[in-house]
Amino acid sequence: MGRSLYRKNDKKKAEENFSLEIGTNLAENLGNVRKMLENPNDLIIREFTIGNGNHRTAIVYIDGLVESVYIQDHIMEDLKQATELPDDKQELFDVIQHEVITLTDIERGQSLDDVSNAILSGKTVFYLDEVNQVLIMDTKGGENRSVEEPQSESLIRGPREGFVEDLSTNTVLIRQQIADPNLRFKNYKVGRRSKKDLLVVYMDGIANPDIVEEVKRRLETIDIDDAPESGYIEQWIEDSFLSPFPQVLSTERPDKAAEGMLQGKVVIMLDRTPFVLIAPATFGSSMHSPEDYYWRWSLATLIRMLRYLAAFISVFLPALYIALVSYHQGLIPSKLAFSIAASRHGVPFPPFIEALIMTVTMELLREAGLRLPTAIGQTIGIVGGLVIGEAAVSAGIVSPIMVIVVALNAIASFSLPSYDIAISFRILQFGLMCAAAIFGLYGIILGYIMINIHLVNLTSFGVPYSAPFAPNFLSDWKDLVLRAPITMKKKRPVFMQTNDEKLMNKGDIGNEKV
Amino acid sequence: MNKKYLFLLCCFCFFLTGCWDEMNIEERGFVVGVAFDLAEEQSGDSPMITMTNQFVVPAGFGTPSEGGNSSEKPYSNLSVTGQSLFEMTREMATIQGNAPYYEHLQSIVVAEELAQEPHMFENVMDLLIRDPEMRRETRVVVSAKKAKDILEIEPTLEPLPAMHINTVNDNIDRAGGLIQPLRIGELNEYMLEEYNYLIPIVRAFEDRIIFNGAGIFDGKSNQLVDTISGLEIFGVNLITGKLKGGFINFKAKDEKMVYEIKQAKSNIKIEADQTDHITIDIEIDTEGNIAETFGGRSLLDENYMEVVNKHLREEIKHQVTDILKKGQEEIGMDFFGFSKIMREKHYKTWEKIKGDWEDGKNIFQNATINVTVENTIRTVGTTNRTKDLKRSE
Repeated sequence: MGRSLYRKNDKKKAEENFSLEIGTNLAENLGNVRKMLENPNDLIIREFTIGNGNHRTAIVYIDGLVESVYIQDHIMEDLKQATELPDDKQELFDVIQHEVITLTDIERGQSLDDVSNAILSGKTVFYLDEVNQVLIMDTKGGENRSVEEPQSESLIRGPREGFVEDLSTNTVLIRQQIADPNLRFKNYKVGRRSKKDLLVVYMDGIANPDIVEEVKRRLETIDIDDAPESGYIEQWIEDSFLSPFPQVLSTERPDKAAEGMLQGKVVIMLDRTPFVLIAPATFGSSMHSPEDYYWRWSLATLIRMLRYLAAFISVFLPALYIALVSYHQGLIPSKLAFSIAASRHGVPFPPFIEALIMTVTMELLREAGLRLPTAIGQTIGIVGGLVIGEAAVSAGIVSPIMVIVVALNAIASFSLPSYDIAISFRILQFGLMCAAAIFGLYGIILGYIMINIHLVNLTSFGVPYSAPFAPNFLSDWKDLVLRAPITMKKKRPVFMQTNDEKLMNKGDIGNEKV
Repeated sequence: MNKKYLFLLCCFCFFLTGCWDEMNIEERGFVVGVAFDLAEEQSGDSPMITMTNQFVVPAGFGTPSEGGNSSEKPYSNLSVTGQSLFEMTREMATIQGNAPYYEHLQSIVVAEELAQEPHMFENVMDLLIRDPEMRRETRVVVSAKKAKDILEIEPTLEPLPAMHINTVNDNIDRAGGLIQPLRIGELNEYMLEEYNYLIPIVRAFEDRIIFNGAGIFDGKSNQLVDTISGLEIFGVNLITGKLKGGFINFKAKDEKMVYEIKQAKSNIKIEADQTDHITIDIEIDTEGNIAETFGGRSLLDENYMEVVNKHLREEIKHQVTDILKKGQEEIGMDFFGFSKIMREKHYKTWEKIKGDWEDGKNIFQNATINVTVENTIRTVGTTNRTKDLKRSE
């Protein structure tokens, strides 16, 4: 239903296309470039002569986007030192491209459009007088962050490297994880104006071709000015924009991306963002952390079960509190009921309002903590939480039990491995709180049923979101709530319908049935 | 589009209804104990009943940080007199402010004089069984004197008197003289099947609650017929096999000893081939240890232990036959559950002789009951003797 909203047939081009061909007059050509960009001060045009002053040439680039060492060592030096150059201009042009310049990535351009695209993405353009062609040389440089530990997904055990903003670095990180010839990179340009590089990465022979095709088809529909972050891409290609659940996973970790690809998933990488997308996503995979596989299975299983408990708490706890305290007092153990009644003595608000005040305060604190610098943010978060909780209780606005409920809820929500799924649980929590306030436990059950109906209806790139729970694949349960020992996990997820099912051969020599 | 609006309109209906059952926890008047007495002033045809509700005052508990607020009692008792219980609970709502809420009701105390009136007890219990707010787990006890007094005892450990009754009752496995507390659910079953049943009797003694004996209720009229003592309850528990633990004093060759029962089983077989005379075989099997001796003889002596065991068997048998005799001859009622076994195991015979069981031909009273006792003394303790008798002589 939502997809039709995106499919606006608005193909009218907003920009004037510089389709001017490159002429033979050097001065005119350079003038064109200046005119198109309105001669900004970082546009460097260096005119010089080669071959004893016989041939007038120029190089054009934008300062800061290029690595000046390349220009210095591999263009200027090479050209100056070249001797015995032919006199014919076209011949000279060929010699320069094939013999003189030692840069590896070099190609020819015909139009002004090629020139502008090239220099704006950090390439250097070489002009030769009386030749209607240019050489485009890759001298990409510019400022880049070094590879650091991912901030949003830090682990105790696991690789410390995370993706950075630079796409080529990210490509390297992926390549280093999987040295397989079947690793495929498919290049796209995104953004009518920004023209960002976007890579679709997948394992040929593992990933289901239908899923890959679907990802590509959806990516091709993208028609926006700019995609500053992969979140734009995610929202363009997701199945249902009304669903609170993330249908595409995002990660900063190369190991997680690699693991996804080996399960038959497709990774989408955008330039200038450290967050890559993994599609398709399922509910189960949102609850996994790469660390689950790095610890021994017994600990990993325990943590997984704890995580599902945390998911339950983060969705249902405030709602359960409201339902029990305002409708079903008989379900609380007697002594606890009396102590809750005692602690709520003098609180002026009904439990629902009380819970709403506290959860909204909690959200505000969380948001405020994000905005502030890390060091202050943490302090403000903790101190603010304590002070507000403590002060609110002693002022008699909320009951101490409510503070415990909200705190537990927040802790549970923070303990989830994926920030995306934690957010969706937070949204659901508010809905369930309302349901509990209106109908009590009955409302919670209704809400639970509604969530389940939604979950089994949802698909992500054709893969049921609730798989392998709802289309039941028993063999995939080995790596779901429980995490079976690594040696027992012999197959890739069945629900991904991978081309190559087997994950390992070791220990399976005698009875190869697959 | 129209369907969408219709759906939205339907959703708004839910908001119109409001939250009809909603009541905040602090607005509930939690009733933990109920006591029933015969009203002092009687008027009219049907007897007047005084109902005392024990309400919890949550503020009296105090929050842990405040260290408990001792100035305020955590409960308040409220008595209302009337004929219908339902009417009385409604009246209480107007007096108390918070409507009585019975889902946390722990114990019901019924005065003995009320229970002695025919059909009075079952009428009182009707509301407590029928009302959906009532739990099947609520326990029933009989008070020897005024039931209201039981709810006014201030226990030292437990903040609420009504809950204290349960905590004492839970210690049934330490003392054999306590009967298993009767739950409302069981009571309902006994009333429907017309089995006789026992309800523990409590007494208020200064500021303590003392469990002492049990009242025997007639299954047909649901009235208290007679009472038995704690020692007799021990015998009943041995017969029914419900003994969870306890001890027995006995003498072996003039040496006083205490045998602690850890486990007791009973096996009752009824021969009901003849409809006018039946034979009941009771096999009692106990397991335990010697807890205390007042002599100095070594308990490791096998021959001596056999003597000890023999005396122990006799003592147990003696206690069991005593209560059986009392049941058969003195009271003339079967409160041992034999009728239940008859119904379950010999249904056809039971249907024929049902009317003659306690009345008419008095089949129960004339039944032959054989008791056999087996004891297994597991240990004699960590020492065979604590003093040397020979040396001290």
